[in-house]
Amino acid sequence: MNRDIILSVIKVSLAFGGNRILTDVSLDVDRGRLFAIIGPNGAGKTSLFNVLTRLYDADRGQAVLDDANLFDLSPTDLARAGVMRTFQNILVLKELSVLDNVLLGLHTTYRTSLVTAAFGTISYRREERHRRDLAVEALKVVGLEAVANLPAGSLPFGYLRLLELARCIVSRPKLILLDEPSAGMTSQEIERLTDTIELIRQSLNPTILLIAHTMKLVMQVSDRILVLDHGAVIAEGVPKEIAANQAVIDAYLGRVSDDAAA
Amino acid sequence: MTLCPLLLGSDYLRFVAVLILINAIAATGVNLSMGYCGLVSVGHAGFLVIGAYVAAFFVNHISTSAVLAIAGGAVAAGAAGIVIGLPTLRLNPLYIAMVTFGFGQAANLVAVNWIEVTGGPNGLAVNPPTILGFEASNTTLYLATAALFLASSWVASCSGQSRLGRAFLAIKESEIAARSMGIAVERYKMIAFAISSIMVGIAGGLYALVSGYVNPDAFVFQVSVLLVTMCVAGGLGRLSGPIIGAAILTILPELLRPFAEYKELLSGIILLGFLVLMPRGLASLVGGWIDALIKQRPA
Repeated sequence: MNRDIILSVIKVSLAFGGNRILTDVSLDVDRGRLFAIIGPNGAGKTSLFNVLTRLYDADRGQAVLDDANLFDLSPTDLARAGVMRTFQNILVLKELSVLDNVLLGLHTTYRTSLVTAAFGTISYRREERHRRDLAVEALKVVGLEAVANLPAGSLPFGYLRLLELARCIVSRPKLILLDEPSAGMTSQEIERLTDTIELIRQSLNPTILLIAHTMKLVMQVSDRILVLDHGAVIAEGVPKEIAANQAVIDAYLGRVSDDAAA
Repeated sequence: MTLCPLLLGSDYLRFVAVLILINAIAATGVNLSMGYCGLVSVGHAGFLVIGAYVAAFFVNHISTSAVLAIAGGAVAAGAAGIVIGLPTLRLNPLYIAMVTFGFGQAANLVAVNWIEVTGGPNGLAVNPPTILGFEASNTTLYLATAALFLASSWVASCSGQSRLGRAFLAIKESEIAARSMGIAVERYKMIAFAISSIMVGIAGGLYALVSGYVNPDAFVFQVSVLLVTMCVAGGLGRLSGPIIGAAILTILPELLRPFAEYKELLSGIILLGFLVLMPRGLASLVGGWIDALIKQRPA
């Protein structure tokens, strides 16, 4: 079998002092697929994202993105290489307009130099116009084009998550990491998010790593699911397998261990 | 507004008007690094010192050309900005404030003590400069100041509205978000700091040439604080903020001259009033239309 693997994580471990966050986490993500990472609170999901986006340094282990050693890349390199992410605690610039926030996602795609930007030359403005068109397109995908010129701070919560999503996809990245995009959303908003993710997959065909607590969303959109608990992988498989996995059910619902019962 | 100096009758009023423009250039520089990028500096008077004394040195010893003198001061201040910024900008904001404070004090002490070059506490007379070979009259110097004011506002406007300004604001709001967007945080902080120090250096050079005299008292710690106050009172992170702030904080002490004894107290009370009543700065109140006037049309 010939798999086309875009991201391979090999025995990655992370600890803060004596606090073990991740222990020997390994996973392979197939290109163009949606790979979900679930687990109870504090399982290390976001920490894994932070390691993969180079905000944290792993203590041990390796990660290979296409042919590159991911841990050799800086966050800037990653953005250039087409890896974008969203954040659990939404990070949008409230003072800027919705459109300007999306333009931030195109930061690394400019060809003209910074000097041209500082002096507002014609070549810079032409490029900026083109980038604006791209940003509007991304806003259309998430359905926010009508509020493009409003300050981001004036949007309701659910819209901010969609805005982050637009900023994330605007550069047409090859790998997208979505950290709890459904957190705090109403069920109506989650349906909209589900549709949006499907739409993004159809139109851009990126590889997506998704952290989510909303099982309905995860089961509906994922190709594969990996379950983390206390920083270690306890299960991996297609949605059906995971739903039936006893270890997963225990991790989520809690189990009185045999030792404790004795 | 930029042409007011020419319309005003008395030399005194003209000088105040030019002083406003010079302060506006410096405050615009501070606003770029502090208002946009979140780098709080309490030592930017150090760049004024460098700009002013280098310009004075050029005119007195190298060439009388005002253009060369101001450019020399700007380059020297920019270079100092990079030297200060390289080790400092990686640190957290509190340390940036401490290091810039130290830099401002050090620059002032050099001006006080390097007597052979700076004239020490007595100051230094600056020879009349020339512009394009002709001796610069007050009027031409005013025009040059106005032109540089417009140029610095233009650069601030273009920077603020372009991907440069977006990157600065992103860094101010969240370095983590900025990094994951591919913004090289350290590099952009450096750029903001360098542009800022260059603008303040230009203001220093202009001050030296326009007043014809420089002494260390003009660049003390309080001046650094004043520049920050101009930005805050006017409106941080807005194009018109530092300009409005510079106008008010230059005029205010002049208006309060009759009450010299209570000047400091009254300025303090008035400033406090601004901050309490308009925490986002005066620009949020009256600046909307000024922004609209100066701003380039959105591309």
